[in-house]
Amino acid sequence: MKKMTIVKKFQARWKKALDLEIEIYGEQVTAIARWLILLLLLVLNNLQPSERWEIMLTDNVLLAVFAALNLIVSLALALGVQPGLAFRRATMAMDIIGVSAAVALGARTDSYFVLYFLIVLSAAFRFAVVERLIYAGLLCVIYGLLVRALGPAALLTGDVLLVRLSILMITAVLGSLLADQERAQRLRRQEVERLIDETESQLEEVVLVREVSEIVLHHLTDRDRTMSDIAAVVQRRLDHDLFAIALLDEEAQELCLVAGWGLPPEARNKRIALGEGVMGRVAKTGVPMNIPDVRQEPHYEEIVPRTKSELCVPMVFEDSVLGVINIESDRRAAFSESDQRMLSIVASQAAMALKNCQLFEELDALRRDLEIRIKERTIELGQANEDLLAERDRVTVLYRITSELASSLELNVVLDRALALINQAVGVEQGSILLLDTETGYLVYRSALGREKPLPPDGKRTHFKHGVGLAGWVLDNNEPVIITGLDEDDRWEVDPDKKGRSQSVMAVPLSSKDMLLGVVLLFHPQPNYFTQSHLQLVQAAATQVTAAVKNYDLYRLVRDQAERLGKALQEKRAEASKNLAILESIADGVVVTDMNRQVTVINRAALELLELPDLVPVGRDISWVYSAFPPEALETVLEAMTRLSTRPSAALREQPAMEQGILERDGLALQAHFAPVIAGEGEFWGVVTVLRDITREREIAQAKSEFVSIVAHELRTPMTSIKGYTDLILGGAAGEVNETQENFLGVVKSNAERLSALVSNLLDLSRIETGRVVLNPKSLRLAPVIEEVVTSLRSLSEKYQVTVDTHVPTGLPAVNADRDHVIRVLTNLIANACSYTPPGGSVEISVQQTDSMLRTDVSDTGIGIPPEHVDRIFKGFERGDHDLVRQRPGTGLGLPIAKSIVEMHGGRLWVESEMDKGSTFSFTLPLYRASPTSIREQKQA
Amino acid sequence: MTSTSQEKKFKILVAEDEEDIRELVYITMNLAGYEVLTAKDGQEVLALATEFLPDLILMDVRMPKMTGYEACAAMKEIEELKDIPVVFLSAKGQEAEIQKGLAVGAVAYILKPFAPAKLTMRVQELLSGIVKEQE
Repeated sequence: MKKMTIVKKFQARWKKALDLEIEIYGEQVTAIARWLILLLLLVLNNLQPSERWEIMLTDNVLLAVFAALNLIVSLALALGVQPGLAFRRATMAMDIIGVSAAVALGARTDSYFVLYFLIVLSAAFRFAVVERLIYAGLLCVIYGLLVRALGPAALLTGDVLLVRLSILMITAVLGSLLADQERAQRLRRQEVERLIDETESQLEEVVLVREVSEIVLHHLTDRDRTMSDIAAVVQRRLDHDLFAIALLDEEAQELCLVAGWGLPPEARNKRIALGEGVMGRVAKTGVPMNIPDVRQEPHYEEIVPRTKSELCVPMVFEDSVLGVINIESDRRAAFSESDQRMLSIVASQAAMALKNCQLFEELDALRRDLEIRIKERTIELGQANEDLLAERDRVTVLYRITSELASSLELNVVLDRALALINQAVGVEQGSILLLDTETGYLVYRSALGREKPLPPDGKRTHFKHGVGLAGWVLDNNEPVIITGLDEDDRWEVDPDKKGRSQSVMAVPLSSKDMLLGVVLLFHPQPNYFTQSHLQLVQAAATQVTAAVKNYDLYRLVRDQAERLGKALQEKRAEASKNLAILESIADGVVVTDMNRQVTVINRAALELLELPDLVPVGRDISWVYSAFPPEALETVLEAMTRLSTRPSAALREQPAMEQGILERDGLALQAHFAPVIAGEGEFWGVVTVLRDITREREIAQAKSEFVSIVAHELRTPMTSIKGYTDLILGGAAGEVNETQENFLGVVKSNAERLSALVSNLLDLSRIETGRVVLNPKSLRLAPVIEEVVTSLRSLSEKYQVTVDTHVPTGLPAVNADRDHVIRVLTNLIANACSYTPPGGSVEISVQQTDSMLRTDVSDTGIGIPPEHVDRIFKGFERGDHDLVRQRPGTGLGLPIAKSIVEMHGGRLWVESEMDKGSTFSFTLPLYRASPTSIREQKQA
Repeated sequence: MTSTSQEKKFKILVAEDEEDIRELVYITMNLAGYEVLTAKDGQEVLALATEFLPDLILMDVRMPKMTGYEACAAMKEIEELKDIPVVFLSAKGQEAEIQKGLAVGAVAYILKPFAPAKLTMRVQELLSGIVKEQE
């Protein structure tokens, strides 16, 4: 190995020299030739001493100097000094000076001609054609001149000189031609050699590429094998002592030694950080590093101690470094550029192989993943297909069940068909539908398949109920159940007669969200018959059956309801026509208007009273109804309606509100009673107006009033006399009156006063009844009025020994009332209370607010009123039977007048009483409002 | 009964168609110490009033020939009589009647039946008013 390297190196040196400068060769040859001839001349001259020793010596010295110079030049050339133009010109000048000096001294001898000849010959190889001819010519001229000046006569003969000069010139020309030819040949040879070398090198590279490619292609998928094969190739091709391939781990940013030889065991799988050491730097920069001497390399990191030089190239694929290939040698500068190029080729192929491996691995992983997915998908699709088929079957059966169920509303028919279809779909021959009887709680066989005896139309009651038997269990749990073997399940009640007939049972509840309707039971003789698919189908069918049962219930309900409604409608119609007949037959006019004041009902009497055409003006506006009357009549009606409609509904419920009014036209007087129509929960719906012809009544009342008035007046005149004269007598105007006379006259006087009061009250009542009392309502505070009345009655209460208390809260609102009349009412009630309360009793007056009214209660601890008298006391001329009543003065007209006054105000007066405990007289008065609905001043008749 | 007229005896004209009542008022007023004239109807009232110019007239409303209202209204037309206060004595106690009476110029309206004592008191009140006015 070592020997071969030296030889190679030597060859290379020579080759290099040849390649560098072809002319050096000629110079060397001629220089060595000249050197040898001069040495020969020197020896010859020394060996034959002559008489001109000095000259000889001189000649010899000159020749020796010349020979020495030529020797130096030759050695310099042999040692590889590259001669430049200056060098060459220097040697030429040295030749001319040296030779000329020598000739000048020794031209006499012919031996110098030989020297000239040699110099010319050497010049022929030294310069270009023109240059060398000039050079040769110059030498010839110098020779000629020297010979003519110094040379011996023999030499001076023209022929000899001419021949010698000619020989010199011819030598120069021929030598030049020969040299050119020689040079051209040499150049050609060198070119061929170079081409061969290049071809060989390329071939080598091609072979290397092919080899590596083969490896790459051969082990496309085996990375380790590829790496080791590449290592083998490198080993064959390149002279080295250590080989290592390191791959880049991109995640860790580290190199890992994966293959190699000559590595110590601890270097296997060694990891090198990126940028560290030679390999790390090459991997980082992507630039190869050829280190001739590792001692000079600061980044060198030792693997084995014997290493002297190192070559490291990156494995690059598409601008990314995948790893490095590193070779080391025990010699210095062991790796040439060619080695580097080759290793780079190997590295790039290796990179491709690596990438291929990587891609292949990825592809393979992808393929495997795809295969798995396809397999999974295929399985899924298969499952889906199966599911779809099952679903299709289910849907078909369900569709049939649904359409069958929808085709009839007869429950038995529906259930039978549904059961038949379910049995057919599930493939069983025996099954039943049990419905829950909600009244008894027992399940009833409503449909059975595979039963010997047909079921009665209303089904057959079973003893199953919640918690009893399998059906009961299903009801309890509201979930389906599949029993695979009946004999092992204790929920099943075994019928000894039918034992062993069925083995599998499926029971599904008929249930909807809110209720349980029953159970579907299916039987099969084969154990473990029913599947989940069956269950799903039957459950779906059960839902349909549930819906059908519910539909049937609904249908039955609707039918019953319709029948009931029909009957009710008929009854209503009958009642309505009866009502209508009644309405039509009553003498009073009835007009019902809705919220929009449009007529909804009007009877014949009303039409007649209102002088309306004989057609029913339903839907006409109220103004049309009263069109025959003066505008005030309509105004009265509208005001009443407004009051009713604006009254709070709570107040309406509490107290049936009534409004009254008199409608007059041409001597015709109609009394109108307005009452609200309250719908549902106290909602104001409209107004019913009852019209009554009171023309005649008013005439009678008028006559009665006039009669009363006349009678009263006529009574008052004699009473004036009776009272007046009695007073006069009692006052002593007719003389002394004794005690008995005084007592008797007292009786006369008190009865006269009583009669007078009676007449007054009678007149008042008559006036109220005929509507001749005019109210003057104003804002009125009740508290001071009550106080005033209580004060005015103090003498009375003291007389009867009754205490009077008032409880009137402060801050009560004012009422809208006529002061004088309110005083009259209060006076009457409080005086009554005092009068009919035994001594020691008490009277209490209290006021409270209720809705839009103020309520005043006058309670006493008096004798009370028997229930049967309560109504009578308001009718006039009625007084109680109690002793106390008879003892106290009274006309029996006070309460009717008080009641009438309160009602005229829009209030109410009533009594609650308990015998021997006391009575409470209460009345209400409307609150005063900012814009009060004036209490209509009724016109005097 | 002693006369109450220490300074001057007031003249009172009593007009009443009912004799009993006329007599009653006459006696009552007499007992009260007044000088009393009586008339049976409206026309007589006018005649007596013109003749005697009484200080006060107590007059029934319902009288023959000329009612109390008419007589009162007529008096208001006569310059000498128009200032004589008229008090109606009537059985018609209705508000309307009272208003009517006051409307024709009466100063008071006393409802029958009345207590003689109360009548005396009322007349005294009215006359004291006249005295005050004169003073």
